[in-house]
Amino acid sequence: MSSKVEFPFPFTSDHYEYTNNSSPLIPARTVTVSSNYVEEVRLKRKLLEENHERCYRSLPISLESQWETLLLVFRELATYEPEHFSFKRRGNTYVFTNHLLQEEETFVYRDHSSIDFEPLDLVGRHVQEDLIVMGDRHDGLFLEAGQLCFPSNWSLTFVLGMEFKTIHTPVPAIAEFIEKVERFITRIRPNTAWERKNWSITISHKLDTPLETYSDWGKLRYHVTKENAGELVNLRVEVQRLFRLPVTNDILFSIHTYLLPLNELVANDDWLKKFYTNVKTLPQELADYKGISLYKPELLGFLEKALKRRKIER
Amino acid sequence: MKKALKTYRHVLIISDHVHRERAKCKQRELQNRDRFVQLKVISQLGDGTVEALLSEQPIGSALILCGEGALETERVAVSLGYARNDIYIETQQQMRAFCSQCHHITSLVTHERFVCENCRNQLEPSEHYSSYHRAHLAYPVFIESDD
Amino acid sequence: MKDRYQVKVEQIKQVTPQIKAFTLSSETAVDPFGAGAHLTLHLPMGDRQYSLINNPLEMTNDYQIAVKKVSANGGSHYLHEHLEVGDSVLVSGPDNYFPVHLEAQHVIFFAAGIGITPFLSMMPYLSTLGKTFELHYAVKNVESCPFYEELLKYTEQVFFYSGSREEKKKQVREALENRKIGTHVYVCGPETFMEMVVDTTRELRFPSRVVHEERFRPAAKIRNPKPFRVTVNGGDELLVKENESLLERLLDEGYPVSYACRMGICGSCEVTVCGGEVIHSDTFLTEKEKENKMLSCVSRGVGEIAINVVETNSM
Repeated sequence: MSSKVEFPFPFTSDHYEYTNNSSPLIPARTVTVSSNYVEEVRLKRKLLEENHERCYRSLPISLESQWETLLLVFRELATYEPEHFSFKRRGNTYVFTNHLLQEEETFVYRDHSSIDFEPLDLVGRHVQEDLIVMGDRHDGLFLEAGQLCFPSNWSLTFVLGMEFKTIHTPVPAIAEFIEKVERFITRIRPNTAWERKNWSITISHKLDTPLETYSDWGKLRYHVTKENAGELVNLRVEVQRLFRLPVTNDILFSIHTYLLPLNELVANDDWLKKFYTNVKTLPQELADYKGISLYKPELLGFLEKALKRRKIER
Repeated sequence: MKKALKTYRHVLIISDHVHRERAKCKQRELQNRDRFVQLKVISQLGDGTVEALLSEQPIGSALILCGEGALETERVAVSLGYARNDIYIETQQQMRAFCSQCHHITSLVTHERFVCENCRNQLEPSEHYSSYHRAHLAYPVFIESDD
Repeated sequence: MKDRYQVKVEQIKQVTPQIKAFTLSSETAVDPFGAGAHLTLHLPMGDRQYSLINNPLEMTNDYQIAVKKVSANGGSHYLHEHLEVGDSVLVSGPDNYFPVHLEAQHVIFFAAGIGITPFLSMMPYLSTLGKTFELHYAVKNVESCPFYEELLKYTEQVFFYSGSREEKKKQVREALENRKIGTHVYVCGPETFMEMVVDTTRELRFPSRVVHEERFRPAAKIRNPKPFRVTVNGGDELLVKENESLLERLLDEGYPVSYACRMGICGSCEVTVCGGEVIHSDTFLTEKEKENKMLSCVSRGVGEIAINVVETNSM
């Protein structure tokens, strides 16, 4: 499958909306294997190797949920992608086989000495998704563990241990929205998955844009022109899934990130038109929040040129 | 939302030597016929000796921490079952800023631009606050001509 | 969480003269569950919810429930008298409104009668995790109480109460006095018993968030939906028929209402209510929000209502 066919284009209407556009996923999946699997999993592992502290963090209380996540994701991969993965149980010992990477993981459930990494850190090395565990505690919903290789301008270390509603940069425009999302999350039923798409823009075709290296990649934002936008600017879509872990009652949050260079996006008339109108109607405060304000005129200029070339009415 | 300290029936204050007078003051202020306020002064907060004391506190009590190292003690308290809302930190320390580039925390006098003590990046503190680190996130400063 | 599916009765065990335990299994893999979870059984006389009593960490593709026969023609009577090994039962779930909080340092369970069932999964679960707990169990007669044999496994941690109401009250208070930080309380049983325990925790200043009762249930589905009239944005008048939702009517009329779950959970399809009475059937809005908001996918007006639909979401 080509990456363009599987790109989860996020816009459904001709104007900008900021809502909890979550929908239930049946069957309840937490991960997806795309055509870039091998390449992206290798990149993830390289990042984990080089910057483990930046890409993996956990609090001790998350361990039960980590084990639950490990079992869930390995089971899911073997159930829905049997040609690529298998998962077998012999007594208390489990064997997960990754045929795409020709690897085998053997472990005893809930026995920490049987694995080399923490459970979340281990299972995350077999999926393209970033994986976050949020603990549903008596005093709130807290980020308690995460394997985060492909963040869009945020720091796992900074948000570790934070309450869900304070994790996002405080922006008045989204405060009410965040409060509602939190309420929505606390009502997610066990074994149920919800999916939403969240979009932003990345300058350069780079999945790993953590806040920690902002001074390297962030300056590219000043270099966007009407001429280079097609190559430099990428629509970044995060397919975010929320799953209620039934045993611990905690939340698994998975993020699968897709990038599409604008040159490929504008080849689809419908996508071009929708993307253009959404960027154009994006409120100033949110354009700032998404970091688009810096190059919004250049971006719109590029898109208008494409619309004209393809003879599409604005 | 934090409750007023006056609504608790039992309060434990843990202080280091430096903040002893301040803690005593707090104890006098809160102590009355219906409220038991215990003060424990130790050489340094976060030195690991307070765990037994913390876990012996009655349910529904509040905890006030005075001094440097309150953060470590707070984390111990949370792991022992305290709700984060029942923990109060009294410190003379100024604002803390979390470097988004190297994770070092610098204490600041004002909310203005500063240079990270560790990585020497020029940073600007933001409104984004972590109650876990008790620090504000600080972003690197770009000058537009910077390439 | 799976919608309705069939499970097979694999085993039936007479626990006491009034209580039977059923083991339900499936040929396909059943979903995992957490301690305190329940299964909904769809029986000829309606839906009934029963707590799962097996250890979630040792579940081997079966669900176990315990049912007390309470009335001559209810669901429990049906299960006791008509269900046999090999029969199929239509179920949904498991769901959990009584989860165990792992941050607890010590857990005190209070049960009365058949209210013991959620704790039958919690106790072995916490034992496996190496967490401490105790059970305070109010019963008519200790030796003939439900699951007496099982409870003997935890002799040091189980305290039976079988006296008068006043005696029980005294025992509950003693059990709750001088508790340390990090203690969580779980209570399940008849309403009066739960109230007694919860009131005592309040008197002793337990934070309400460490006291867990098995009470919360999602709002009931509206049983006999009736048609109602809606004035939208002070102009259009619409009729929502008994067999359609307000959301469906609005979408048909071309109003750009966002929606997602259509189950009253996600809050996407919220509209502002300007007048009239509304029957709320969602699990999303707060009581305060219900004063002037409704979720158009599940909630309905009574007679005539007026709503505002924002043209585009202004966010």
